[in-house]
Amino acid sequence: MKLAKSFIVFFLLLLPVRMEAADFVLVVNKKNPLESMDRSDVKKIFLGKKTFWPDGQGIDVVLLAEGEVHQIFAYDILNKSPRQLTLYWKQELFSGTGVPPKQLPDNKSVKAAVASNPQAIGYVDILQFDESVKKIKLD
Amino acid sequence: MNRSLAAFCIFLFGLISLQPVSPCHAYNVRENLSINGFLSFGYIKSRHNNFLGNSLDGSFQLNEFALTTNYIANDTLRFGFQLLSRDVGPEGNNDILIDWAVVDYRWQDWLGLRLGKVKLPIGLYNQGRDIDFLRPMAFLPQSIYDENKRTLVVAALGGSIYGNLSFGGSGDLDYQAYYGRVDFREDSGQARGMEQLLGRTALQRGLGEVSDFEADNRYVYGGSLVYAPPFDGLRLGVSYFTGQTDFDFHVGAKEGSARGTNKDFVVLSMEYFLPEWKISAEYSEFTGDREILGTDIHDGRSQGAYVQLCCHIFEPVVLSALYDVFYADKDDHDGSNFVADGQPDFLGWRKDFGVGVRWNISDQWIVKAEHHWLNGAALQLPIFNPQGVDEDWSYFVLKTSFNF
Repeated sequence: MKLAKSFIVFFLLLLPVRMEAADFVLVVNKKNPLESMDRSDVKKIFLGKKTFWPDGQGIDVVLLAEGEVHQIFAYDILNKSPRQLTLYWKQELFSGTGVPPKQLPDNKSVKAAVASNPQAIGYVDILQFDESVKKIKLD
Repeated sequence: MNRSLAAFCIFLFGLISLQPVSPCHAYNVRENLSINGFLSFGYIKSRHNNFLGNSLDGSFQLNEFALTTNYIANDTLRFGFQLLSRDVGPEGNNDILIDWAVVDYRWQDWLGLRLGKVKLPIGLYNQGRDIDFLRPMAFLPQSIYDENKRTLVVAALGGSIYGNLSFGGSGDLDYQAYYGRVDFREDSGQARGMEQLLGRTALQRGLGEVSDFEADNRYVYGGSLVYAPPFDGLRLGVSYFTGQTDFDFHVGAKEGSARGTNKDFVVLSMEYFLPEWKISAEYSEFTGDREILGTDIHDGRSQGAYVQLCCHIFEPVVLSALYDVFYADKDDHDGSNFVADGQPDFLGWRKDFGVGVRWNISDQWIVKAEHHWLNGAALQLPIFNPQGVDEDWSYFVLKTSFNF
């Protein structure tokens, strides 16, 4: 019995634990007229299924390369682990059906990329949000 | 395997991997021009039967290299191609071939057009079948993704239309439809299977030896639908493929011809994933129809299905289990037609139970090991075992893959 309990504890320790202390905010360029977006549309945008804004302009997606905020965004919006998201885009890339979005190293780079491109969309740490970009409400 | 080519590829990838790369690990030569690639090496060892080459003695003929280039011209237009070199037993020999090359015009989300050499959407995984680090195991389940049929189903010179249809709160549907011709290589499993059948038929009829064998694909066409319901993680798919290939040859001093028609290759697919789990299952039926030297060969309608479970026990390690079954004729599960033809009944089926472990060292580098226990010798196993086949057999694979 003791051995069984030890085994269960050991197994539970192996289970993945997601830390969700941080949070993200979805951001677009300040010229973008949208105020809010549906979660399913956001998911389709970040998986390359929806590639045009309502005005017909192309959507330029920007991802964070790594970190807690990227992990939370991937789990929460895309229902994928960061590794599954990477593999999803590599399947598109090497099958000839798509090209992965840009991945940038930190929040500052994402804000700069979104602020300089009217067609861009990205996400940043909620604590790093500033007025250089526009916050989009998730419905 | 061509050693100089292998050395070149290792040097090239080594050079690339030493360079500082962007977080997506592509080479962004310019803002809209990127270069990516992958390579994999494997070792296969089997017991009782050879599988895809001389695996009884252990074989390193299990590798793939690819270089991929994409240029995004604007919001709707993309140019891309991928060079692929592979060596899987007697097939490939590390010749460098164009795997796909497309001009991709995406007019709207619901309609796009690709022209060139396009990958074919059969089942959920055929378009990515040569990308080792995407697969849980070294090979995709053979009941659906038979390596001997790869040349016929992997890509076609022609075009496809594709798009995503949104149904609001009811989910969305990805579709693809294609038409084209296949560059049919004589070292492909399917051509070699036809050549072997021709040789046996010619011998039975006392016609002499088969020589100057050539394969010429006339057409392939088909399509796929993949529905994503409004709850996360589930994909349901159906795909259809058909094609026809003509074979010309000399038998003795005379010219001969044969025809292979792949009718109604239908695959039903289901995938459900959570961040730590993935289960996939597919079912297929397929009618082959071969005509050799004016005689119709009874091929029947084959049947295949598998279930595969993958579990991230902890972050870098994924465990996989597979049960995969194939019947050469869905109306002859016990192989009695083979017995009537003087052959072993177990040529009529192939049942594969496999377990594997995959270690994701990083997003770029993986190592995996797996073992399979099999019963039955369908799916052209006699090609690799001219001395005869055993009913029960097994194989082990160790493989590593790198991508950037």
